[in-house]
Amino acid sequence: MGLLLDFRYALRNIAKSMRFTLLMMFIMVGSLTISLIGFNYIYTVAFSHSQVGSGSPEIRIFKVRNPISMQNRFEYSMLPQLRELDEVKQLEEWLYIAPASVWVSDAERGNHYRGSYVDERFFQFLDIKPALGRFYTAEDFVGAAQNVVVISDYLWLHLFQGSKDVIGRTMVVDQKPYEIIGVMPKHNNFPIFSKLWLPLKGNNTAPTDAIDIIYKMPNETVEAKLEQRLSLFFTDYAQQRVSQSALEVDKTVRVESMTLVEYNTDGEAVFIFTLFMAGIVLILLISSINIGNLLFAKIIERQKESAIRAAIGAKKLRVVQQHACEGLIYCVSSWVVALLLTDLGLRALNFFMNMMFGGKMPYWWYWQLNTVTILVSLLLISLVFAIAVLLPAVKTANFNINDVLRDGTRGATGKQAGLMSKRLLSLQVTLVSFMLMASSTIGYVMYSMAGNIDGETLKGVYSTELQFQTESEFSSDKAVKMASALVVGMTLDPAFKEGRVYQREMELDVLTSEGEVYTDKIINIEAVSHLFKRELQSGRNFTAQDNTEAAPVVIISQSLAHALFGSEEVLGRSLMLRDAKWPSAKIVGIAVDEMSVVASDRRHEVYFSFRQYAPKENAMAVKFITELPPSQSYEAFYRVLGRLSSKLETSYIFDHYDNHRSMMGAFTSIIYVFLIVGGFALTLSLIGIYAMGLSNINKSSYEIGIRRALGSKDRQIMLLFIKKNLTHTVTGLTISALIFYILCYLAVDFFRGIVPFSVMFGAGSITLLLVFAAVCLALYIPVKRSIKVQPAVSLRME
Amino acid sequence: MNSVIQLNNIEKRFQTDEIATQALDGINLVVEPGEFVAITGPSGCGKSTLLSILGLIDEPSNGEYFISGNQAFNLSSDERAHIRANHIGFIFQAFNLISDLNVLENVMLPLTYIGGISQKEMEQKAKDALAMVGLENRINHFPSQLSGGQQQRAAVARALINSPDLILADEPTGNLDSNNAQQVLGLLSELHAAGKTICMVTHDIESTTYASRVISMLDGTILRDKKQLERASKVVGA
Ligand SMILES: Nc1ncnc2c1ncn2[C@@H]1O[C@H](COP(=O)(O)OP(=O)(O)OP(=O)(O)O)[C@@H](O)[C@H]1O
Ligand SMILES: [Mg+2]
Repeated sequence: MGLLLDFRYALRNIAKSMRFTLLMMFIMVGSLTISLIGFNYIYTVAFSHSQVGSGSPEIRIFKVRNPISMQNRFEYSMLPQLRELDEVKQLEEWLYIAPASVWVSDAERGNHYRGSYVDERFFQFLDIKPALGRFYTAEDFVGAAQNVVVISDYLWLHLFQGSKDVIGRTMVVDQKPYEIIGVMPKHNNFPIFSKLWLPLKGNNTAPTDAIDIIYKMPNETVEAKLEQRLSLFFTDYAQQRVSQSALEVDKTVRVESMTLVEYNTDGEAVFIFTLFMAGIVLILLISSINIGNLLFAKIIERQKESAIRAAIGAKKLRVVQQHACEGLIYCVSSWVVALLLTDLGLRALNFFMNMMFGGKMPYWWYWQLNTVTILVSLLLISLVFAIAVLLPAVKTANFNINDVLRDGTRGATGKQAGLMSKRLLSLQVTLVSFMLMASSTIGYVMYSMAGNIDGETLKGVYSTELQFQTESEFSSDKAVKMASALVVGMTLDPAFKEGRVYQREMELDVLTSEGEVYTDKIINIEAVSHLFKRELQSGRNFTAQDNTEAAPVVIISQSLAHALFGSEEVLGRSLMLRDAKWPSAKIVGIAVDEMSVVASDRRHEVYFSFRQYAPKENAMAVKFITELPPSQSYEAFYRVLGRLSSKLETSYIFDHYDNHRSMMGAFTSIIYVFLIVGGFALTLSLIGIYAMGLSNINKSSYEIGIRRALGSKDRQIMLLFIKKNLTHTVTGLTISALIFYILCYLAVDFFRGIVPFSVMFGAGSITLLLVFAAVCLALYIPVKRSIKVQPAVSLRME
Repeated sequence: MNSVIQLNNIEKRFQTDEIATQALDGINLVVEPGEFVAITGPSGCGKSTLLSILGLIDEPSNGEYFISGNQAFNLSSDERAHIRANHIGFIFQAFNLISDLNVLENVMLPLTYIGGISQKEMEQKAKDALAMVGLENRINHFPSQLSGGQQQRAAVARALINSPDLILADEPTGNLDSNNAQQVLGLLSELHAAGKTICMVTHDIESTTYASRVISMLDGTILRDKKQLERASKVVGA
């Protein structure tokens, strides 16, 4: 009964102050909507599962993390044994896929695409029908059968212009002809980014090719057992192949089952998700405080009324209820509006993302208002209700009836209540300015980092990794021979400007003259082939004579030479080593520092001769520079590779320029996100601060009236009231600045000096000043307005 | 010498959502220096409105107001504030003390707006003014800790502290018992005797006897305006 009355009264109050109501709703709906859309966006990207067919269970992939194996994967040769495992047999639906990067070419051009070698159950497993042609039958997997391929919608449109007679045409994949038998329906680029599907069979697969096991998750216990069994299986298998001594104690094999998305991001999505959620909660917290402060001010305005109610017998709970009712109405209606807006926003997001990245993003990224989002919205609105409604309602119900009623000054608030509202203001300013300082600094640092990179220097730079087809073909001697042949081949071919074969990330330490391990900066240690010409400051490059018969030699970078020997003559001295083939090597050359693309010199370089430090494992890194467009560069590289006496394989070619461009794109979009989110948070809280100032002034307009009637000039009034709020604003700014600068100070160490303190300090301080100016303005406008009315008017106001 | 107040055909309209109220309807009035004017009339006839306009805390909708010969209409808001701070003392119908300031601070307030007075001097003046109204032992109380009559007396002390030439009092005795009322009225007539100009709104016939001139209002107009011998001077003279 009482509740109903309270609701009616609350509704009347809301209707009475429409402007205030709209302001509140705007802040609440705005922050809730942006939080929900943000949440849904990240959640969909990070955690949505690929589901094939409707209602089918979530699909998982096994990934093996085995430090001994090159590939960290199951291999094709393990398949027969894998199939026989009871735990695998128990799975109702499972299949294996070999992800690959394939080279698709015709007479003029060629390109790399992500593709998958799949088994015969693949399309049943996915439960989809071809858009055109047919999918595989059992005959396609017989060794002698004609090679066939199913292409994606994307390839169909890009290579064949969507022509209907594509079926039956021939496509050259990895230099072999394949007949196109079917086109996959739009967006089904399973798994992740596959653009074409080839039958996985003996004649197109090496025993060492990596395969992934994909299954529909039956239930937790079956999965746990499977995981255990596979782990055991893998360990056994590895032990059979690798000598016991190579299995070190800490190098344990781990098998993980991951959703497709986790698999694609190596689990990083979870971290990013958490980070973004923190941001979302921060925005919501800021606006909750905002709303709380506004409601609080509103309640205070009616404190006299509450006191009268209490005087005639209202219990404290009843007074709280009275105020909470109004807040509840705001919350519920904002929640409904926010859900509607979120739904609209997500539809727009879906449309936009598909327009921009259609075909390039996983097909199961579909943003929509789902149960999780609705649950989160409930959680968030409860949080808002607790912080913004209950807290102020309870806090303000603790008044002394007598004090309030006796006060002949009307609209009296009491010192206590005013203090709380001002503390909330401080807190709000702290959060907003901290968030803005952090995001503007990150944005600025990213922007300047991106700006520092001279993308043009990366044009035509490619790297790749080469392997012998089987482990048995590999030997260190053969690797050295092949490397020389490859470098000679690239040197003779006019397509190449530069080419080098090298061994990366060699695990050995450089010692200082005191015999301690040098740790001041990271040292890049590589073994490079002899024809590789490094720009030297003095000394010489490696020659064919720097082989295992000759004394060990080394080339070090200028900066390391200076760090180790100062200004002394360095050429001819020995570089002391640990965990290396030799305890020391003679320095024969000083190389000009290799500039990192991100920051100027932050590493030292040490080069050994490839002939003296031949690879012990079946892997060689290659870097080459051409002046041709990508597809011709790839072709040129395959040409040289084809002329070698042993067959070397590569699974990818990394285009540095292309990567740089997509990185820049990612940077730019992150900066935009920061700008939008930061700007939104600032706008919200400025509106809040403005409204708070307004209600503060309204509350004080009586006092302002008195002061003016007594002869105070307008300027004095403005100063007085700005000063009143400014103390708390400045407190907030100071706290956030302190936290921020301390974090920056710590971050400098963390980033190893890539981002200097002065840069972070500068970016943060400029933001701080801007926030300060904006806050002052938000506080100034309401006072300015209140001075426009005649003192007699404000004196009459109740 | 200029008259302190000269009103020519002053009108004041209030426009609320539905109805327009003509609170003042063609007021013509001249008040000479040293006059003690009592304004009476039924509730709602426009007495407080008139006083607000006289005190420069509101503007008329129509008509001219000369204060000490200056056209009030032409004054900037700072000039108006300057006049209020230096030349006018206002006693409000509802005491209008500031709740966050204690009695001493409330009374000192007008002096802070005049400027150029040391803190000590201001405190001394405020204490003197409070002693005059018998509140010397309540200086650290907050308004909510005072009785209605005490609040009223504090408001009087505040109005007198800048030794104004023109005192505007809106029912200064409305909340007081007859003893306290006598005290306040006595104070006003002393000020009158000292040459100050006073305009006082009152309901109380008894109070009007202290005035040298009584103006009766009705529905926003002046009904009667008559000079009389005042009682205070009689008392003083007796
Ligand atoms: N701000 C306002 N808005 C609308 N009407 C107003 C406003 N101020 C005063 N009035 C109206 O103007 C008329 C005169 O008001 P005023 O306060 O001057 O009366 P008063 O003579 O002082 O009465 P009382 O003796 O009861 O104090 C009243 O009818 C009142 O309703
Ligand atoms: Mg009145």
